[in-house]
Amino acid sequence: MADIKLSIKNLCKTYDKLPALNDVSFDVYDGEFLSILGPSGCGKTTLLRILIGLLHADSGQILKDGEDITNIDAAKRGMGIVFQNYALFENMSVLKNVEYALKIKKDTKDGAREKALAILERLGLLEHKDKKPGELSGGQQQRVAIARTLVLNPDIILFDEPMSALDVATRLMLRDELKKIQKEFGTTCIYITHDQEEAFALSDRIMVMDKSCLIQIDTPENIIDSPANDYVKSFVNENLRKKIDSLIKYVR
Amino acid sequence: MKKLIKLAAIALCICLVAGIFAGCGEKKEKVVIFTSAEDFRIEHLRERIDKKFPDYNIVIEYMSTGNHAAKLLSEGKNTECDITYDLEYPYLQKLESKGLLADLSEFDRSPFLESVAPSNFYMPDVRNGGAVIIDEAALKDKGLAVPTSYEDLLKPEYKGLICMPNPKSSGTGFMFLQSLSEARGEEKALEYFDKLSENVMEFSSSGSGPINKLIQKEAAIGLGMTSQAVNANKNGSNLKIAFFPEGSPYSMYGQGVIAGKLERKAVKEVFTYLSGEYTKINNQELFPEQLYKDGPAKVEGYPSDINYAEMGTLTPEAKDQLLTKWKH
Amino acid sequence: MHSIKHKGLDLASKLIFISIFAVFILLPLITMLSHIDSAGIKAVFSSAQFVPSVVHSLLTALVATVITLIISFTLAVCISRTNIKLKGLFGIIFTLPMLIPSISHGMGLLIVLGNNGILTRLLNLNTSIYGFTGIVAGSVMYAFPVAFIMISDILKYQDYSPYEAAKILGIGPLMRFTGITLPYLRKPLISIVFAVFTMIITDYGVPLIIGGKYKTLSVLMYEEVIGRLEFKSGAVIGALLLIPAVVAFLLDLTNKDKGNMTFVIKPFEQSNKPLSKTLAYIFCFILSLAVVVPIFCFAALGFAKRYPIDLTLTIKNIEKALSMDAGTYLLNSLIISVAVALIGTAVCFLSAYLTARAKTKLSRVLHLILITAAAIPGMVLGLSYAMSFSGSAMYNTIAILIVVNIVHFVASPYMMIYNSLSKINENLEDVGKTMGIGRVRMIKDVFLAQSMPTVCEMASYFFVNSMMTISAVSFLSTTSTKPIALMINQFEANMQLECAAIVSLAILIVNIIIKAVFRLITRRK
Repeated sequence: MADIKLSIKNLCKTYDKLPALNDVSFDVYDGEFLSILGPSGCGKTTLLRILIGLLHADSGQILKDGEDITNIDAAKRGMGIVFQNYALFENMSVLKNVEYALKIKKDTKDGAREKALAILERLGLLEHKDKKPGELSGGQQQRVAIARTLVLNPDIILFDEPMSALDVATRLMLRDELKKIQKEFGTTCIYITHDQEEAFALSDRIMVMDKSCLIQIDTPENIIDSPANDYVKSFVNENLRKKIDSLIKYVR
Repeated sequence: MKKLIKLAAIALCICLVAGIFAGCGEKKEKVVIFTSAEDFRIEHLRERIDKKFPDYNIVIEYMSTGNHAAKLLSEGKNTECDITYDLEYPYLQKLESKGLLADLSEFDRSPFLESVAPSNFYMPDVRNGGAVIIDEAALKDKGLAVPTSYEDLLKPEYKGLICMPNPKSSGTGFMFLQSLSEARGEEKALEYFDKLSENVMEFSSSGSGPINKLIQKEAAIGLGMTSQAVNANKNGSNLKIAFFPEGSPYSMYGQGVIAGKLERKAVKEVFTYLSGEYTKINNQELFPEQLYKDGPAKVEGYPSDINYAEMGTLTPEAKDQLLTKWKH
Repeated sequence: MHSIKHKGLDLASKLIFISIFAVFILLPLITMLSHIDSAGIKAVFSSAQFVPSVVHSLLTALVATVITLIISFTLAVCISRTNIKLKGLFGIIFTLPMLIPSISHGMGLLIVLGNNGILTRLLNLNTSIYGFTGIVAGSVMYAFPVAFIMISDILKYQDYSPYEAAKILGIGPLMRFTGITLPYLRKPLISIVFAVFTMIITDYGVPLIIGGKYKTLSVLMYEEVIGRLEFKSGAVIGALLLIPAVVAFLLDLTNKDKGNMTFVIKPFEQSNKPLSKTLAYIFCFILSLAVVVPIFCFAALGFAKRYPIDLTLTIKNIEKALSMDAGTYLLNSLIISVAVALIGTAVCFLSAYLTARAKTKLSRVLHLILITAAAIPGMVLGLSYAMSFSGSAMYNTIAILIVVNIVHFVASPYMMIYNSLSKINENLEDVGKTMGIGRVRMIKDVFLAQSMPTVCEMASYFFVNSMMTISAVSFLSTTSTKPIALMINQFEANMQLECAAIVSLAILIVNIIIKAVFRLITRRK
């Protein structure tokens, strides 16, 4: 197994006395693709926001490469995030969107344009570089958002249900691409979804959450073979299994 | 984006600089006169006063009577106004009672009729007489007779043709109410106007309203100011100026200095001219209605030998009292 | 930690904004309300005009609001849902009424439809426009463009998908209207109804000119305050005139679920059916005539020697206005309007950023204070400023005029930018934080840049309204700070309709230039 990239220890969070995260601990390996699966309201988005530093946990610790980053600024964690609604800068062209964060800082200013162009080319967006986000399809916009994150060289990228606004065909294509990018850049990916199919198709490991608690974290195969409880079991009926088989074949 | 901000900033700077220059341009000593006189009178005054005091920057600021008084009352002695010109007596009384007017006992009031110069704190400037102003041609077109009494105005054929200023906001309107109330008693007078309202097209907010409507041929009969009718005729209208048997109602307009401002030499000089020489000129050229002991003046087109209505004396409180009973 | 610093900064700026607005919005309001006592209430409620005025105000405002809504809704549908040409021209024509004071609309109507009006004589009409008809007509004239813009804005963001689905299911147009359009419009429509109603019921320009004997509450207040110096009665009526706005306010409070706009909107296809296009053309054309004719006649009046006796063309009215310092007053107006536009826009933008993008309980307070401003009729605001600030250093300077105008007009531009910022993607701050983009940069490069069209619209709204307002400033201006619009009242009282027309025209021209400049700027973007 690879090195431990991220180590999460005993995270707790409550909103207005209602628990959102209940003593969650797990490790993420370097270069792995981890999906966090669970119904809405299970605490997965809260977890994601705490990991990247947009939210503070009430207690617990986050270690990255062995270093405590629990109280470090979001921008200095070396992580990127991709949202469901793309969150692009609508007023800027595709190229500007990608190079903007580099351009405004002195130390990354030089060569920003070249870097941005290279990423756009890699993602097949070069022909759209002068368009505004509004002129692109949903799938293209999400790729711009991924490019904008990649250009900053994060070693971890968090995805917050990035495909739930897209149609099925686009999803399948983007899924494929995402997997390739991850292999190419060697980036660790943490991927939130409520879509089991997607989780099983993409992930090295899957973490199932329910009611603010971590239920099970394991490889897709193990989760299917030995679900931790009835809840996890219900996720993986016979029907689903067939689907996964065909999808795994499709992806590989 | 940046260009836009720059553009806007430049525009602001230009405006501000221009504003400052405009402000600095006025190096002459400034005397501010608030007035409720009509525009042709302001023009008349401006011509003469600028000639008389070329070294002063005299600002003449028009305000409707009510607004004029309200501003002075709310601003008190801090007002930028130095001289108040052509304000109705009840308002001047109110200003006097609040201690906002300077003592004018050093000015000579002996040429004026005693009845028109009752106070040490303000001087008369005009006696403003009212008349029933009639567009005879318009009535003729409609086949209607020319009314000769207040009772005539109640006839249904004049419905929608009569305009009268609202006594609540206009001194001119109020003097008609006051004169009828003096002649018939308050109850009867109010009753009369209730009936008249059936025929009235509009109770205008300003005293100029009726003459305005007559000139524009929106109305055929107006209860308004004699002087304005004369002026309209001079400018091409052809209006009959009628006085009903009760006589011409009138109200007194005066001038005063805001307390504490008389110490300034410029203010004192301007006021001396205004209340003395100019009031006389005004009386002889524009407003011949009697102010002076030596009798009324004569102006072309102006009715002479006006029979004034009995107006009685009204304190500001009594005026307020009467007005609270006014329904329109 | 960044976010903690942000929170501190947020809190501080919110508190600063809240206290500034408390001083300039709430304090004068409280001053005014504190002048209400039982004697004042008794005087107002027992006066004979009171009940009829209330009835007249409610009746005219209700009818005018309904007509305004019908016209502006129809117009909005014509413009945004059919594929007619000349939309640009119609757009310009329907903005015109918003560029001159309401009092000028009254005068325009009088010249066209008064007893001696041009159309009255031409068509030999026998009905009088004075009273109910005139007030309703005049009010609709200046209110419909505002409602039209608000409704168009809503229609623009409406999703076509439900209609498509309904069509496929074979649901008829009437059912689509009652089943989809109306429920969709219900919430925004309520706020539009109240905005229009408040605007009409508090205006005194139109009823003063063309109301005749038909007295409304706003005119009654004008008479109480200006005519009789009865500040106390004025305050009572002012408080009554606050009621519709207060109701709107409470509705807004209960109307909490703003609901994020879905970010995938299927735009409407514009109808190309000949029948709907023809109908749209006819409607737009008739409405254009109704707008242009009175304004044109009124403007033309400015060049007549002496209406209606001598209609020879002349420029003496311009000379006359200039000899009365119209030039200086115009400069005053420009200084005031530019300052109000710049400061007002900046203040609105920052406030809206704090309320729309950094939501806390304090945001709600700030938000409420800002919308309260819409409720205060200009006259009340002016009077209460005179009562609250006389003796302060600001009094008698141009600064107080700038402040009073910002407060008087702050609510609409604030709502424009609030809505615009609320619609911007909710995750942008998160993106900024994770990518290390500073907050000031985010505001400048992203939020400001994205809402630039709205910002321009705000600035021009502030400018145009400051150019033409007569109510709030009338109690606060001095001979050296007087804005040009106040000359209209003066000319009106002095029976110089011709000069009033010249001044209105000057205001109209300046406002058209400003609108054109902003249009060019936003179009180039």
